[in-house]
Amino acid sequence: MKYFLVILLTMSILSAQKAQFIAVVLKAKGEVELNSNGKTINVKRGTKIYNNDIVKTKDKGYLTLRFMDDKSTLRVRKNSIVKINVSKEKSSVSKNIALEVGDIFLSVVKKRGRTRVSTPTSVASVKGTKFQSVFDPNTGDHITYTTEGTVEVDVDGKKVDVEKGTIILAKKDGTFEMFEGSDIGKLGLTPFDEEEDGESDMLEFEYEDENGNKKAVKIKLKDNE
Amino acid sequence: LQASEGVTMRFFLFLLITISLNAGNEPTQHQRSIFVYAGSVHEIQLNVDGNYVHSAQLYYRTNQADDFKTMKMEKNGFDYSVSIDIPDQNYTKLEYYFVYYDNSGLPKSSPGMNPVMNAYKSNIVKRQQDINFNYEIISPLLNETVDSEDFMVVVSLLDVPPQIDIARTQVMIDGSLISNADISVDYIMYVPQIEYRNGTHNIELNFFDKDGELVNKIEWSAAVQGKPESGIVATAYGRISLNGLNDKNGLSENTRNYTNANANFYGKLSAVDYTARAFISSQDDKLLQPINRFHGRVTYPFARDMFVRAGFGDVSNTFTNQFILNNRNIRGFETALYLGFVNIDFIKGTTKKEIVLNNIALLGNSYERESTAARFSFGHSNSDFELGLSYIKSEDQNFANSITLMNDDPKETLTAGLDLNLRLMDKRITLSAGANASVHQDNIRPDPITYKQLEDQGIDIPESIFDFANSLITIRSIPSIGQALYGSFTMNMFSNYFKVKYEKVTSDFRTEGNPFMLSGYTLLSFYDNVRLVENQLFLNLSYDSYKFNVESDNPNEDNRLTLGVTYYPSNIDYPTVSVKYNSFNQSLTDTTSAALSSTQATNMVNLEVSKDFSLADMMHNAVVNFGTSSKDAGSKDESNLFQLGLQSELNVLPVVTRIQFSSTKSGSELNLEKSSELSFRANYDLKTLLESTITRFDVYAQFNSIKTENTVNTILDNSLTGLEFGTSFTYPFENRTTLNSRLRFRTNSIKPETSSSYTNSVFTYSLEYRF
Repeated sequence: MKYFLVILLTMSILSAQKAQFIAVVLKAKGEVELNSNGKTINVKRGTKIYNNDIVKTKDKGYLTLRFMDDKSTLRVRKNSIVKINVSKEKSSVSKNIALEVGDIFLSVVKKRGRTRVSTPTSVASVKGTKFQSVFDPNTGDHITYTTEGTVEVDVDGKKVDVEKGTIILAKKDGTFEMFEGSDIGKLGLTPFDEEEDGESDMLEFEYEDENGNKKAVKIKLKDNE
Repeated sequence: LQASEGVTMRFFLFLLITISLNAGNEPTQHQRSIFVYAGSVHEIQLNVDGNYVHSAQLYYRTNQADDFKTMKMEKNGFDYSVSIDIPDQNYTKLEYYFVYYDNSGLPKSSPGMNPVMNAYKSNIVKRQQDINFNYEIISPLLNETVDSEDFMVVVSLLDVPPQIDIARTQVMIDGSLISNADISVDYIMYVPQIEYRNGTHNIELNFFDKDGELVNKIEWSAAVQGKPESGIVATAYGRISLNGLNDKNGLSENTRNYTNANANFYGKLSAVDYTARAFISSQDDKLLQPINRFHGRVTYPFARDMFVRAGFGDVSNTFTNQFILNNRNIRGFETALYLGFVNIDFIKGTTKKEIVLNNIALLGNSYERESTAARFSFGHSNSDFELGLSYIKSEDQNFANSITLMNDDPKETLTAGLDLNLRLMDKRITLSAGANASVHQDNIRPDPITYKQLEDQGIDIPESIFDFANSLITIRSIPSIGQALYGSFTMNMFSNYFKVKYEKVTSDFRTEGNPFMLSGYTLLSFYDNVRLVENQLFLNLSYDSYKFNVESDNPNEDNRLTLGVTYYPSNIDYPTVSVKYNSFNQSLTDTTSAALSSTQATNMVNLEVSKDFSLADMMHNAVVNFGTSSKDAGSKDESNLFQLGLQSELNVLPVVTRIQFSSTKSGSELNLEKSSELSFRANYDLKTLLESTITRFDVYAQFNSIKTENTVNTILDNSLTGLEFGTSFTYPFENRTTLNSRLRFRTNSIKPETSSSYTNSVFTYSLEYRF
């Protein structure tokens, strides 16, 4: 009887903790999976994202989601894994986007609480509004490119403000390098653009110019789905 | 002078409630509401006794400083109706008038005389019972353009108070109720299974309290943009409707029946958007102007804001420059090419007008007016910059039989205009200016005149100019040339709406724009509306200076000044109070006699109080309005108005009752006119009986009593007692598919003082399927 009551109480508490609907998928292209409460489901427009859900994009996957509290938008490129956690702190809402691998772009419309993108190498905290984050778990490199406002990046306890138009490359060993936005090609980074939502497939080529610099060419393929 | 006197008198009596019961004289009746609620959808109806009206348009504005907007009215039986959105805040007066076309194709208006200046007026009353809460529009964002496949509605609700019954929330897209939206206390979401067509879509969320009263509304619009599809994709949406009438006229003892069928379709066929509409009526008579109307149009969008379009049938376009073309049915062909910045519109066709019959032998004769209109523009009506050149040429055709019948000569008119619109700082500052000119041949029966004949008449112009003019319009006599100039500056910022406007229209100006546009006048007006104390206090100042008969040496002048203060308290315990002062000065010049020239001044004061209160366990809203005016020209004319409106919501039943009473007394002791009106209406919302949150089902009953007395002319005395019953039912299926139906029965007993009484009755029905 005692065990039964304990089980009943535990179940009541668990059922009372209703999963918190924190974001909604605006667009999903290609293969995109969502790991929600231990279940894996395919993602499509209108899929609800709950707290602590993990999003995985495959080879041709692409995802745009928008947060329900402040309409911040997160765009996730192919071959990325992102875990999203939201916690309420008094009147504000804090978001932590754990980037395990891949390339994301975050656009914060209204700053109502703390928003962070964390990787094992560094943590980028939003002071401004728009930035791109790329993490490669093989090398441990975490690149943050601010396109609007300022992002504070914490690399092994050192806090660096990354202003608009600048890039920081944080390394596994706790060091970092700063770059100008024009160096984006050198880092093998493809900037997000507003129209990218409309394309699922892109071909990217790297080539060396006459000075031996590596450059990237991106060709957008017409969506024929 | 007489006309100006009429205008003066009408303005002096502007507080009179224009119930427009012109028993027997006018085919139309309109009963206006003395007040309408801010943020509501208000239906305006034009009642027509008999089949006299072909089509009707509503012209309305809620801001005195703005131009009248136009909306086509929908035919329902003999009557016409249209619904308009009353703005949520900042406006206190709704002004409107009707323009309709009778069987002979002639435009008429209601009010009948000078409708622009004598428009119907309703007070916009703001209620204090709105329940506010925070929300975030997640998708689509305001004015966002999304791909058609990405269109969905998501709104995050942040702190919905318990008074709101979230299960009753309605999601509407483009006026269609969505039946399968996902609604919870935290969010509202609708992911359509259908693809919405390209263009702007209006989204509306209506929130209700536990009693079913609308307490908040979220409304915004966003655009959908299609993507090129592979293969043939076909979609079809639209509506099919049927309506009809049985009408019995007690005076003529005639009975009439008819049925109308209406179909509207739109959708996509591969990358092409199409629209098609048809209106077929059992009233159509080949001998008369066509009632049956049809129109088809295809649009191929090839980039954002870029498309090519072609259409045929009854085209009824309106150009940005409303001095040129405004919502006329031209049967013919239309095409448009929009290249983003450079755009072209072209329309060519005819308007058929039957000959006013006074000779049975010529029954069925008609004449046509052929019109060609074009607009070449840089930018468009939503862009920050727009420069347009518009043109229309109209010429009466096949008029041989109309010589005596029309009592009017066939005409030819060429009108061209240049307009410039600048919309700056997110449209908070707008600048509009335009110059239009018309060349009008009042009679095109005579043969064209030659250059030599012109010279013989002593007119000395270069022959090249004569040839050029002849290539535009056939010169048969010296044409009259008219001009219409306008300019306005609007600033809407710092809690201040300011507008200054100038217009000049000469009496010879002719166009296919609004047929009741004033002519032969200049107007300079200022309007300023300041919002203070967190939008609780509104100060309003307007000044209009008109000059009529501007071509004469001594034009008549009207100067009007209005000062208004309105207080909308945030505390619902206090009433909304509005005080207005109007001063109207007019100088009338008589060219034949200085003694007949005069100046008149009229001063008016108007007080309105509106209050929500609870009494006998019911919620009420009461509006009391009192106005008085006096004229100082020795005629001792006075006018007094008293209005009372009371809306009550019963608690025991979902019933809303509304009582309106108005009493006016106007004129001098020698010619006093008294009018009183009482109306009572009760609406019973039956949807709760159906245990459905989305089905709408209501019934209503209305009683009216109107009495008019004149101390001099008793033939004008009459009384009317009206009774009306109606029901409407809306059943939503899936997505936007909806079935709407409506039944209405009205009976009016009219008792003229000097003749025997009679009763008119009318029964109308309508059934509509939207998909």
